Amino acid sequence: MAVPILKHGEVLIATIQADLSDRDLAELQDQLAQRVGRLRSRGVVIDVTALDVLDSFATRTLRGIAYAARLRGATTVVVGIQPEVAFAMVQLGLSLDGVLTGLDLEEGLELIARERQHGHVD
Amino acid sequence: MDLGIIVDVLVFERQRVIRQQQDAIRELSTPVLQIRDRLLLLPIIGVIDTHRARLITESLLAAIRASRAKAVVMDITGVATIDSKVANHLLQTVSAARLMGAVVVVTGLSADVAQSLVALGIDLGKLKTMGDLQGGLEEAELLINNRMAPPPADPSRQFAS
Repeated sequence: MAVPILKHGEVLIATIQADLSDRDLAELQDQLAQRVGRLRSRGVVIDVTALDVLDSFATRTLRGIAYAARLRGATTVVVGIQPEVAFAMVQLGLSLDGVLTGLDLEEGLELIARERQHGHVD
Repeated sequence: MDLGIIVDVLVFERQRVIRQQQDAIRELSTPVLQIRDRLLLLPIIGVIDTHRARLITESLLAAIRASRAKAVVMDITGVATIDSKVANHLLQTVSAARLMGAVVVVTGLSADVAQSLVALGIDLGKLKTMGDLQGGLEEAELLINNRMAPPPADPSRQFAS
């Protein structure tokens, strides 16, 4: 199932709506990397609210998207990680180091806006 | 026979009280308090084992979602000793909170605890730590303000010009 990528001003929003296969994730990474350049985006928000599991491949892909987007001049925020998912991830030792995280879409957009205005936020 | 009934009642009553107190202790063990809008306080007292660490993490994550917290101050003044296991639990809780978009400031590391952590070679470099609760709350306020309102102009530049 393909993930729709929406353009909202200078930000791209990708809402993952169902569990994705590894192929779909790789496809998402390609698509986002391309569109960040083509649409001159400054931010990417990936919404994972609907997911109730994030495995090592998904985590790695999210990190990959963030690094690729950063190289092309965009900030990536992963939003909507559920409490159970967050807990499972730390138990499994999966980390999203170097990727911004936010509670929901609103927070993510806010973080990107702040990053744009004032440089790095922690 | 009357005496038997009295003893039974006494024993039953005592067990009921013990059960009540156990429930109370379990509930009290992981309170998550809201200090102000989007700022939570998590005081931890006593021994942290795996089971309790799980409870703490779960209730913290639920509270972060419920109150849309931006920052959490975790006060471990009441934790007498910290070994590698406890440190690992704390790190896990902090990472999980970060995944939910909240920054955690750990406070209340006493001099002894700090010394023993250094001696054990446990790296808490990933944690944002402050000496006492006051410092932690100030730091958290700063973080929230930084994230929610435009930061003030750089003071060094102000004075230079």
